Amino acid sequence: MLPKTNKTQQEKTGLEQSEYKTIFLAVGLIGILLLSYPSLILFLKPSNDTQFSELYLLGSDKKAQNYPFNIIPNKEYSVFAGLTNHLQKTTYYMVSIKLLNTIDPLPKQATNPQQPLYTIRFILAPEQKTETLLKFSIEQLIFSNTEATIIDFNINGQTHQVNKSTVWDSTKSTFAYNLVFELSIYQENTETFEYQNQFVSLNFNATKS
Amino acid sequence: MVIYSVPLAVSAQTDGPDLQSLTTARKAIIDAFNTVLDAEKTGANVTELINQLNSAAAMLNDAENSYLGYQNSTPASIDQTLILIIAQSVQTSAQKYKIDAETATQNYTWASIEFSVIGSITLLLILNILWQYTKKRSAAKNQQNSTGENRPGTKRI
Repeated sequence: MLPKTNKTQQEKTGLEQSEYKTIFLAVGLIGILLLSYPSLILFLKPSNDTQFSELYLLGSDKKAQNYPFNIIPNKEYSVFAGLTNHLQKTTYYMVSIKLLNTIDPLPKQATNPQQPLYTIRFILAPEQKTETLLKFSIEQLIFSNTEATIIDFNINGQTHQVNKSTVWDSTKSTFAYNLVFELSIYQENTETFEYQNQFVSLNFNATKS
Repeated sequence: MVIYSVPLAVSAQTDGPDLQSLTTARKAIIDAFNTVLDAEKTGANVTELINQLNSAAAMLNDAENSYLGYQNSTPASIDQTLILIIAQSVQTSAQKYKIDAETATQNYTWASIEFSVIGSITLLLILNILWQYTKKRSAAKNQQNSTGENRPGTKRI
């Protein structure tokens, strides 16, 4: 009986030692990892979240409502063009504003070849946003049968001779136009502003009253 | 019905901003932006520089839109000199920020490495001392138990 008892006691002592060993090893490893953390983050870059730029339009009350739709000549309307930088780095943006009619292609794949009426440039730090007020009006509008032509269009006090015509859309009962905001970003490697296939547009109806 | 679309008129104002001035101002802002970007990459806080650069960009916007616009609008003359001064000032500050940030990063790197190495060595030494102590104590206990077991007259229940 005695040798058996002695063996059990030894086993008990041995088990305690291995437990201690495990604890010491665990404490050592965790401690080293914690102490190495400040050095490790210098070399291990945290994975970036999804990177994108947020371009949006708001109504005159800075909310996504009350967008001007029925535009009559010589009356001023306003919208806010908003942009937020989620690209994790400081970025130089340019927003080009163009007036399109119903047959002009929307810039889904490439920028519309028209000259912009107005441009806004700004530099945004990561997660910084800007909301720019844009006041616009039709200064001269001509109607002839089923066609409407905007002769002069004003944005933020700058008048442009656009001579832009559109035909009557009988399904929607509108002379429809699109005020398109195209987003471009300055690329360091090409040293140019490149269109990001990203745009927002304000659809409006040119009307007499 | 033929729908026609006349290309937008873009005409330079004779007394407004000229294309050369606009190009110079654009380039100055881009050069300053690139320097700010370099400074940011080294970890510098460039918020103030971005604000300054945006004030120059706003002036450029006005001039550029004045150039795009026509008739009935009073052409805004481009204050090229002011844009250049701001851009140059931003560029100079960004270079300084970059050097400061590089030095700070270098110091932080060394401090972090020293902290990690010295801390790890200290931890290992402490653990080693504790381990030796625990092992010794465990052996003594074991020996005490063995002695107790072998003592004549004792009987383990």
